[in-house]
Amino acid sequence: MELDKQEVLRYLGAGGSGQALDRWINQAWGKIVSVARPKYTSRLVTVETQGTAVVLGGARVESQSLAQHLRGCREAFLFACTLGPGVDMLIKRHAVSDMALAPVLQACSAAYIEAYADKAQKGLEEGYARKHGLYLRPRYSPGYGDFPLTSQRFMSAALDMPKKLGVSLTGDCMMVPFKSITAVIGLTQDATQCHIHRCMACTASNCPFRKETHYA
Amino acid sequence: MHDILDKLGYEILFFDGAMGTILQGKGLLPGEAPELWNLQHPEVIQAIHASYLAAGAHIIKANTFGANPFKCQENGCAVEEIVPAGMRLARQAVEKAGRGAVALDIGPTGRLLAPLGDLPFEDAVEVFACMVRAGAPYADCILIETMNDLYEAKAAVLAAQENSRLPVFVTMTFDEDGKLLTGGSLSAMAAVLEGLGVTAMGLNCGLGPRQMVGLLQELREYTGLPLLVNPNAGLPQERDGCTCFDVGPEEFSKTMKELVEAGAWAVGGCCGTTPQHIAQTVRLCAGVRPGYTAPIKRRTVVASGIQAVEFGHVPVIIGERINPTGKARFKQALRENDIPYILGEGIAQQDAGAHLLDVNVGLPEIDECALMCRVVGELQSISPLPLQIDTSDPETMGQAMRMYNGKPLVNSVTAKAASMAAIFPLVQKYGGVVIGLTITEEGIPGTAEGRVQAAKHIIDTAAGYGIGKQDIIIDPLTMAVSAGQDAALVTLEALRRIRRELGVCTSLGISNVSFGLPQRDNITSAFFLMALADGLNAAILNPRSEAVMRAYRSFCALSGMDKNCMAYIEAYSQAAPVAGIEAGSAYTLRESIEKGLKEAADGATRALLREKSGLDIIDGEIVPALDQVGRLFEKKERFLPQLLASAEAAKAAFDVIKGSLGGQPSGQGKLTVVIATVKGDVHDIGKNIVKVLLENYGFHVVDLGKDVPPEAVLEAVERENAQLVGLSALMTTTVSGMKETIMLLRQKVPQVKIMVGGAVLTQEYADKIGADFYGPDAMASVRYAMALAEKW
Repeated sequence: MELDKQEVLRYLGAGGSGQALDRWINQAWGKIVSVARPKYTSRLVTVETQGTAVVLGGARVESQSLAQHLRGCREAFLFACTLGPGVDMLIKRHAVSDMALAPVLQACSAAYIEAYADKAQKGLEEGYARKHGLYLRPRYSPGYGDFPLTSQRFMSAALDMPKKLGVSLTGDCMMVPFKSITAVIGLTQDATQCHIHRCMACTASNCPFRKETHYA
Repeated sequence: MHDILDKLGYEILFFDGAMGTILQGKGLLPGEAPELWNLQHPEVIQAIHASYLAAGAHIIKANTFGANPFKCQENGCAVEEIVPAGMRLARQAVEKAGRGAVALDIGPTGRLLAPLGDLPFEDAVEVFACMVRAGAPYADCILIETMNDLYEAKAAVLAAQENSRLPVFVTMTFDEDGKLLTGGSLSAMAAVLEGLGVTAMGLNCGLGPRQMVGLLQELREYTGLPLLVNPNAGLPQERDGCTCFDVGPEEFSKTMKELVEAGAWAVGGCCGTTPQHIAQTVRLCAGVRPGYTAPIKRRTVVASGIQAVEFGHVPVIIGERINPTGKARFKQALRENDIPYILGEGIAQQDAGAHLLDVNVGLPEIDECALMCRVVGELQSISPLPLQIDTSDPETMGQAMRMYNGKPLVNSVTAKAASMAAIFPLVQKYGGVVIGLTITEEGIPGTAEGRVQAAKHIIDTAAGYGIGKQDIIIDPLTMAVSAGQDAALVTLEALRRIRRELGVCTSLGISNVSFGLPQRDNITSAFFLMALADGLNAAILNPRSEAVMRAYRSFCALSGMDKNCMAYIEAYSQAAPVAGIEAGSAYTLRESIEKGLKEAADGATRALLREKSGLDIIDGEIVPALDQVGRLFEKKERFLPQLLASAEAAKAAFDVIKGSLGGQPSGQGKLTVVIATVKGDVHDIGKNIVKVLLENYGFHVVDLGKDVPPEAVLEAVERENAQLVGLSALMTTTVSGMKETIMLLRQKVPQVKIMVGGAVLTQEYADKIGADFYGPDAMASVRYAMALAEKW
C-alpha cells in the first residue's frame, strides 16, 4: 500500500507539511503497515427499493437516503473491511507513551483503510461487475444520511463479521477494531452516478474532512 | 463420560460437518439466525443430523452455535427455549440412529470483551453460562468453537466448567499465518487452554484441511492434550460476490488423513463440508491408530492473549517497575487513579526490552483488588507482553488471575502451608506458572541446602494439586551482600542445585544484592552475570537500567543465545551512547518546548532549577513557550502533532519541577476540568488530545474515559467540585449522548461551564444543545479554560 501523504495531511487537518511532520508521517506509516492485518469480506444481495426503505437480500432497511443512493440498482455488495486490532493497540499505546504521534497514526490508519477499501472495491468491480456490464456506486455506510447506525447489526450478521473479520459491535453499534468500515455498494448499469466521491453524498457540508473532488 | 468419548485416543473419533452453509442452501436468508430453524423447521435440522450420523460421525454438534442471550434477544426468542430445542433435535437423531454423542455447540458472542471492546469479562462468562445451563442436561460434551479471541474462549471455558461436569473441547480459528484474528498465536492458545484444564483443543473454520496440516504439527509441539480438527471444505473463495468452498469429499478426506497422521485424535468438518465429506473421511481414516508423531515436551510457559513466553531457553526479563515500593511518584499515581502513568511505566519497560511485566499496585489505603484488575486489563489493551501478577492478597490474586487474558506468572507462593493452601487452588483452576519463594515457616533458610528443601516442599505440595513442575519457577532469594559476606554465594549455590536436583526453572529478583552499597549497578550487573552463567532462567529487574541490560545482552551474545548477535547489534549499533541529558543540552527550556524535545526539556529544567524556583520556571519559561506554540498552531504554522510534542516536552519539565517540589505545582491548578467521551461513543483520541494540552497548561484534569453515561459525568463534577466540563463525540449518531449529558448537568449543577468538541460538531449544533462553548480544535478549548481560570 502506497503512502498518500496528501490524504494523511488532510486527515490531520494540516494545511502544509515540513520536515518534522514528514518524518512523523513516515514513521507512523511504517508502524501502521507493520501491524495492520487488513481483511475484507463481501456478499452480493438483491436490492429492491420500497419508498423510504430498501430491501437488501430479503432484509428491510429503513433509510430514505440509502434508497436514494441505490436508486436504479438491482444488486449490491454488502462490504466490510478492517485493519485488525493491532492498529488499535498501537494508537492506544502511543496515546500513553508518545501522544504527538497518536494523531499521526490515526491519520495514517484512516488513509490506509480507505485506500485498502478502494482496492478491495476495485477487485469486486473487476471480478464481478465488469463481467456483467455493471458499475459500482460509491460506498455508502451506516451512519451516512438517515442510514441508521443500528443497521450495523444487519451488516454484521449478513457478513458474519465477527467470524470472518474479527470485527464486533459494541452495545451502541460501534465497530471494534475501530479501524473498520462497513458499506453498501450498489451495482448499476448506469455509469453516470458512479464517479461522485462519497463525501459529496454527505449532508455535513461544513465537515472539516470533506473532500470536494470526484473519483478519477 | 459417554462411552464414545471414552474412546478418544484409542481410535479416531469423527465429528459431523457444516450446519450453517447447508441451511443457506436450503433457504436461510442473509442475517437470519440458523438456530431459529430449531423451532421453525425442526425436521430440516433433524434430517441434517441424521445424514451426518449415517455418514459415520460419532459426535454431532447441536444447532446451538449462536444461541447466546445477545443474539436470542435480537431475534426475539429465549436461550432457554432455543438451546434445549436444538439439543433435543440432536438427541432424537442419535436415538433414531442408535449411536452417537451430542455436543452442546457454543460459538462466539459476536461482541469484543473489555477493555478493547465493551463486554465486561464476567458478563461474557454469564452469557456462556446461560447456554451451558440450558444445554448441558442434554449434552455429552461441550464444544466451544470458532473462537478467534483467547479471552472470550477463556470466559466460555470457565462458564462450562462452573456450570457442568462435561468434557470441554475448544477449537479456535486461525489464519494461514497461524494467528487468531485478534493476533493470538498457537503457542498462546496452547498455554492458556492447557492451563484452564480443557479436555481437548484444536482448530476449526477459517481454513481448509491443507492449510491446517502445518498448524496442527506446530500445535502438537506445544501441548500434550488431545487435538481436534474441523476444517472448512477449503479456503473460502469469493465468487460473484458470494463465498464458496471448493474442496470436494475426495480431496478433503485425503488431507484429513494427513491431519490424523500428524496427531489429530478427532476430526470433522466446518463451513462448506457435507455428509459426503464426512463419509469419505470416515472411510479413509477409521483404521488409522491415533498417535503422537513427536514426544511431548513439558514446557514452562506463560502467555498473554497474543503471545507466549517460554522459560528455559533465552533468559526472560521481567520488568519490575510497576511497583510502588520506594517510589513516591508511583504511589501518587496509584492514589490518584492515574492509570496512564502506570501504563507509561509498562510501555517504557517493553521498549527497553522486557519480556514480561510485573504488576504490583499494593498500597494500604487503596482498593488493591479493583485497581489490580483495572491495571491488568488496561495494560493488556496496549501491550502484548504477558504479565506477572504480584500481590500478597489471595483475594486480589484470584480476581486478577480470573480476569487476566492469558496464562499469568503468579508472584508468588512460599513454602508456608497457608500460602500454598491459598495460591495453589487458584493456579489449579485458572492456570498459571507460579513463582515459589524458598521461605519456610521459620523464615529464609541461611544455607543452600535449606532453600533446596524449601523448593522441594513447594514442588511436592503443588503436585498434590495436580500442578506439575513445568508450572513452577523457584526463586532462591537474593540477599544483600553488604549484610552477609556469603549471601550471594549461597543464593547461587541454591540456584545451581535447584536446577540440577529438582529440574525446575529458576528466577531471581537481582537488584537486592547491591542494597546498601554505592554505585549499585556495578554489583547488580556482576551478580546478574554470575547467576546467568549458573543457568538462571528469569530475572526481575529494571530493564531501563543500562548496566544490567548491557550485561544481559552481552551474555546472550556470548552464550550462543543471540543468533548472529542480531539483538546485540540492534541494541548497540547506534553507537553514540545517550549523552547525560543533564550535561549539555544545546537548547534552552523554551526552545526545547517549542521544538517538542522531551529529553532536552527535562535536562534544561534540571539545570534551571539550580538557579530558579519551580514556580519561576513555570511562569517565566514553560507557560510562555506553550503560548508561543499555541499561537503558531492557531495561525496554522504548526500542526497538531507539533502542538502535542510541545505539550509533552512541557510535561517532562513539569514532572521535574513536581519532583523537586514533592507535589503538584500551582498555576492554573485552581480550575478543575472533567472531560469525557459521551455515552455511546468509543472514539477517544480527540478527548485525549485535549486532556494532554489542558494538563500541560497546568489544569487539574479528571478524565472519565470513553462511553461515559451522563450520571457518571455528574457524579464526577460533584465529587471533584469541577468548574468546567469538556464533552467529546465523534459520530453524528452519538451527539445525542452529549445533549442528554448537558441537560442533566444544567438541571443538577447549573454553575458548571460546558465545552464541547468533536469532528461532526458545529457551533450551530453546540448552541442547539446548550453548550457554553464549542471548540473547533484542541487549542481553542485550552484558550477557553484559560479565560475561565482568569475570571475565577
